[in-house]
Amino acid sequence: MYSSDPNASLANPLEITSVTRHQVTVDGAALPYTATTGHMHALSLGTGAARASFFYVAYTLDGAAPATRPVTFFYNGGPGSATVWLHLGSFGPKRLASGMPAQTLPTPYPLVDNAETLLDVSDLVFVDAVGVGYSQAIAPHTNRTFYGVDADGEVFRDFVMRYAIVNNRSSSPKFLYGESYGGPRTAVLADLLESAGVRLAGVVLQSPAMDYNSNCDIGSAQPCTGFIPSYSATGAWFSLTTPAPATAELPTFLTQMRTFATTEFDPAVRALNAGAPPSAVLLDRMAANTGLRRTAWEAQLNRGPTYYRVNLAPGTLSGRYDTRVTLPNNSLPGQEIDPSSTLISPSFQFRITEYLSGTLRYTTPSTYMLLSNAINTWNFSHDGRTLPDTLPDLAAAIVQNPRLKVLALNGYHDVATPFFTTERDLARLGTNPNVQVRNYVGGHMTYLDDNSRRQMKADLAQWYGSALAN
Amino acid sequence: MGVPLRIDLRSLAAAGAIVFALPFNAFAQGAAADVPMLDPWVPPALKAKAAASRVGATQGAALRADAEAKLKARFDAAAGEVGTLTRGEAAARGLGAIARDFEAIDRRGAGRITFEDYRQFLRAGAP
Repeated sequence: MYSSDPNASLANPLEITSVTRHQVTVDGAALPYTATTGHMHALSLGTGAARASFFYVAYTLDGAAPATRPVTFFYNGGPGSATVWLHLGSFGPKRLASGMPAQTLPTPYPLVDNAETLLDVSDLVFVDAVGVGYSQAIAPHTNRTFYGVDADGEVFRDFVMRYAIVNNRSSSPKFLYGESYGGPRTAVLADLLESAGVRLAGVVLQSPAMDYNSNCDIGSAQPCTGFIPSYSATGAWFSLTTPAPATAELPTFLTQMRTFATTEFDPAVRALNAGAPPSAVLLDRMAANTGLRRTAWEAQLNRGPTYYRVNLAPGTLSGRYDTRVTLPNNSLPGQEIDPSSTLISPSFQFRITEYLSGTLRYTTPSTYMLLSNAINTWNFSHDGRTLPDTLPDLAAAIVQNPRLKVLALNGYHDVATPFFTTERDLARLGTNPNVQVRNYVGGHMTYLDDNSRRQMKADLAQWYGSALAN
Repeated sequence: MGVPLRIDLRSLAAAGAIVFALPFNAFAQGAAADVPMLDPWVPPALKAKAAASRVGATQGAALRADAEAKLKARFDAAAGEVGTLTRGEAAARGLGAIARDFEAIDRRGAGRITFEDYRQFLRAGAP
């Protein structure tokens, strides 16, 4: 039985897989593929000992030459989240048709063929972190052994290396695709893989939290500057900003809002911290640019996202992952739920269970764990900091491999990992044409928005092409 | 699915309207009906500790120095007191990239490299 208990481990696990054959149509072309579902052990880089049994689903295009065919490793974050969101939501051969931000579709959402799958570009491996899904530590180690920034990165490295050797993929162009905490995991992992001699072609950072210390909601008490343009996008969505631009004009509006956040809001917060209250003009502009009433900004200028979600419209609670999704606010103060998470989570839990056993023929009596409690015991310390700043890791990967392509993808309506925070974090790398940021209409999981997923697929296909030609 | 209609929350809330009902179907019962939005998130005590001990973020040349410091720490841990690595030692101690590029790093042809040799190789733009 698989368990997410921090003290759980497996005694003598086997590497058993289920292999099934399928087909998906992309741009009118039928792609026959093989799904391999099951476990593979990560072997310690130092001793070769099996330390963790990773659960993964690999989709490989039939008939392709393994040595030249790209392979991409996908994982979500948390820490403690299963990779179900990327697996059934983004670019796999099947996806849950959630129609985000629609809130009236019947649930559970149907699992449909994914016309935007990346399988035409790369083989896809969706792998769960230790302690979630069906991944678990191997004795004498326990799940908790890997509940830390560094230990987690190392064991993921060992999985990727083992996967490449076992499947004759050592020469394949390799990509990583991590979401949220999977962003910092990617930075740590990319550095470790490059040091170990595994060349990466590119890394995709989906709504990443690269530096926990730059996010005023999770890491520090510094100005919430990185959130302001996300408030503006949200206010605009609900026609509460002045002006309230239509979606087509949103990028231009948000360019202005980035400037406003940096040159007006940020200095005003710092001035306030030094004792100087904000000007009436600034407070007027805060209300106009975010949709949140002036008196709220006057009472406290440096506002985190929870206050914004609760108070943008009285009695209504906006989502954290996707502010476009709302519910009447029945939460106790300090215990606000996320309507956008509540909306989709039951469908993902239901469909992953059905899909793994029914379609992929992988059976186990265990429950597929969407979320563990790893976060409560996670060792967040990294390179001398209480909370991880992984820009040095990403920089170290680039120092070792100057051709490494980095692509960050963010949603305008995400107040978990705001797009402007990602831009500011990555700007620390300096000018580098290999580092790009793309933003889309939508939340944390931009790919759940049908229009944005189509645009993302086109952008990703182009990006993979440039990375492979690099 | 087209672009959903934009909703004027202010007027809906003012009218006391229920915006949307929470979909809660039988299929969700017994399963994890609501997964908390804990990505990313840190326990409150840790957040307080981090806020108290915040260190500034480096960028540009200083960030590059941080990156090189990481690589030096890794090199030094593998090299031990000797302070140098042969190709075989690099390979055996997990530094596969150094083993792979050893000849290009070892410009003196000494068969042993220092971290300074490696740093110069990296600053020249790696392989």
